Amino acid sequence: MSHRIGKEYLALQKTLRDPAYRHVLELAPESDQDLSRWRARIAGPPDTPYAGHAFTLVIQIPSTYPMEPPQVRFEPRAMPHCNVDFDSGRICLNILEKAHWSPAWNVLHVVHAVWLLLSDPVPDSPLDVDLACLARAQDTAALDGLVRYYLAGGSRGISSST
Amino acid sequence: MPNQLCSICLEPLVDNIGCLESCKHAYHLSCLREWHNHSHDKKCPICRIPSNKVKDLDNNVVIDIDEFYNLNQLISILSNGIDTLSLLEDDTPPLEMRPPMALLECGICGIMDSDIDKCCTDCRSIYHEYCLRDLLCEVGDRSSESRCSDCQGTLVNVTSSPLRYRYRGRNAIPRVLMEGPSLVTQRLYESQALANTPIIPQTISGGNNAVMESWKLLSRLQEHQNEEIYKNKNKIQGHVRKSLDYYYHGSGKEITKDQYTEVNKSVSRNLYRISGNVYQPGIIDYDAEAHKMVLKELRRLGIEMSC
Repeated sequence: MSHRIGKEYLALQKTLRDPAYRHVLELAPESDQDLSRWRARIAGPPDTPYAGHAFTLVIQIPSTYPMEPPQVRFEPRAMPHCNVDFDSGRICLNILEKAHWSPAWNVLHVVHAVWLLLSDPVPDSPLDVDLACLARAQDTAALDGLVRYYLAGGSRGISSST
Repeated sequence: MPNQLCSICLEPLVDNIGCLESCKHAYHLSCLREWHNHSHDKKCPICRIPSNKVKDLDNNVVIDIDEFYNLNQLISILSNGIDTLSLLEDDTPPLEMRPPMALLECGICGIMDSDIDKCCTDCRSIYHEYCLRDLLCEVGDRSSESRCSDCQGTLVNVTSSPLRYRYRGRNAIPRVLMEGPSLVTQRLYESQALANTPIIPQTISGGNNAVMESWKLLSRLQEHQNEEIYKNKNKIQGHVRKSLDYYYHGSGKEITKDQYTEVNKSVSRNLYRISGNVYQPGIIDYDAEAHKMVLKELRRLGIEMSC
């Protein structure tokens, strides 16, 4: 496994210069000694309430990688999104599940998929019920407003659903 | 296909290449195999189109992925059971559930050695030819051809193939042949209810790496299991010998060497059967049982013991 992730790390130096991955501000292991823990920083997609903010992703590479997907989370209490559990940062994204994962994907694909999720929330599989209700009601103004409020540091109680 | 990388390990595809039949995407066979083991579906990692067959480009043969699975399944079942031999702990284990290696002893004398040379085509019991001959003499029928003493099935010679023997001191233990399904693996295969499917995918003619790997693993596991059973039997026999030695080496040799061997054989065989080939010192009092049986056997031989 370390072999494959090492190869990805080498290739990333080049790939990240590609303008198509402009939104990936940073993607690297926490230390060169341990390639199983990675950190990424992604820019909020334009034309969304997330624009202008940067978000940190914590990535854990399992020993069975690439046969099993990496585990990806946002930092706790930093990402208001209907497919992200606000308190833990857990992300609901199908390619991060074992059943949908493919070994042909790499860490960059995963980070890119998470970035895409920011502009395309899926309210039908919510981890944040409040935001999902607004999204399902297609009340974009209220949804964006609430997200902006939280991103600006607006207070949010510990949710009881965790 | 030069310079192409395997999408699973990102190493260049030089050899050990497998090409999925439906979508023609190529990977290392070993990577593909590992992935199929993890995913339990037969979809291509790149395009998710299912393929039932993969073409081994090195050997130019088509491999059925399902048959790969069966082999893998078998290996995992085996490797789970091996540590504890837990399959045997049930009070009345059905024959199918017993480890296949238990059947590697002669059905008459219960000894596992390189002299075993007859096998029943019906129930797959194996025998020494000389044991069968002795049996025929005992029942006074010299003319008839020998038949399986369990099921009266036809016997075939097994020395040439499919059993090969590895010598370990005085005793020898049959080993799985790499070139084809042996009696043992066949038996094993049936016991996992996978009969009628050849254990080696028939489409494979040459030395396919992944399949060979499975074979090697399988034979290692079986060897291990074999050794476990051998150890168990040795321990059980130890008790019988201890009990017998008293009469043999003890005060004024009362039994001959032949009698010693005969009693040892039959008592040990009984004890194996009682304990289901597992050494269970907490449950069975081997010393007492062995002593009782030895006395009974000796009495049967007409030797009256003082104690």
